[in-house]
Amino acid sequence: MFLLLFSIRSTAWLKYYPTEQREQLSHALTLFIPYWAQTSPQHAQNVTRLDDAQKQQSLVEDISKTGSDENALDVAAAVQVGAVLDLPLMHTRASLFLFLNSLVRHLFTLAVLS
Amino acid sequence: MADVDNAAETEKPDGATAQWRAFIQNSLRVRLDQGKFLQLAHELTARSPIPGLKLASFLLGSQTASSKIVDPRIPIFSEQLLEARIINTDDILAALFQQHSDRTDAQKNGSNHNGSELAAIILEHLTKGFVTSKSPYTIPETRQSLVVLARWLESIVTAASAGDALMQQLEHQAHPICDSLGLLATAMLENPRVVGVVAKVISKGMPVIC
Repeated sequence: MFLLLFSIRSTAWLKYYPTEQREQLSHALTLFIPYWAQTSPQHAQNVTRLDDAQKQQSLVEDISKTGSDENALDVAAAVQVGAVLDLPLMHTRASLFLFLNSLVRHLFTLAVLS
Repeated sequence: MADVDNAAETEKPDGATAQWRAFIQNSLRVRLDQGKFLQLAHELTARSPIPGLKLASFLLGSQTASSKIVDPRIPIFSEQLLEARIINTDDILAALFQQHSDRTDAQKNGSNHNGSELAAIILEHLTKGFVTSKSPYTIPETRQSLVVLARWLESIVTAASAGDALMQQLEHQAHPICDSLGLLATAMLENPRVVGVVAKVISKGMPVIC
């Protein structure tokens, strides 16, 4: 009980998450540097300095997560799951075997359950 | 002068906040000498300590109620409080960011303020502090400064990309802040202490107890 209370109290002190702050700073710099370069051409040298400092400290926003999501969406769009065609039934020996096999399995399952 | 002394000396029933507010207002009103201001600020800090963010908000917020010209005592006082470690860099930066947001909201109602000019002056002083390595002093101060800087940078870009017609009208006022923030960000990311904090403190994957 004491350990539980201590753990609950101790989590109140965990209010600083370095990874989130790093991501926030990287995101802000990634947004701001192109905007600053566009709005203030007279500060081109300072923009370059800020860009260099951002890259030296690895504060570049990681776009691999968003890229993977976009790739997944592209694959899902390319598969087009909803556009599967309904082919007409073909009466062949193999189809008859599959039909009888599934029928027997279904009857066997019903017999076991009853 | 006597008013300032009274504000610093007398105990008021509503606590440190009212004392500091009166002290700041009277110091600006009588254009108090820098040395005397710093001496009284030390005395008042020892007697009635106040959070740095609140004090910075009092000092920077007193500009909006005054004339259209930036009171030169405000940046001087803020610099003195910063050098005396009564307030920190992140306090000034957070107060400026808060007032800049409020000022933008107020300008939607047609009021006229010169907060951008004051913010540009204060940001220039902060930039000089980072360039000359006078700032920052502590890791929490550095960390909080980076947090406020990131939020401010993001808010500027977000406001500009919103496509609001009002923001287009205010664009000429936003550029000085944009340039000042860019210079501040450059100075911060080139400061050896900030580089150390970025490399060591905010690179860990686990939460830090603070």
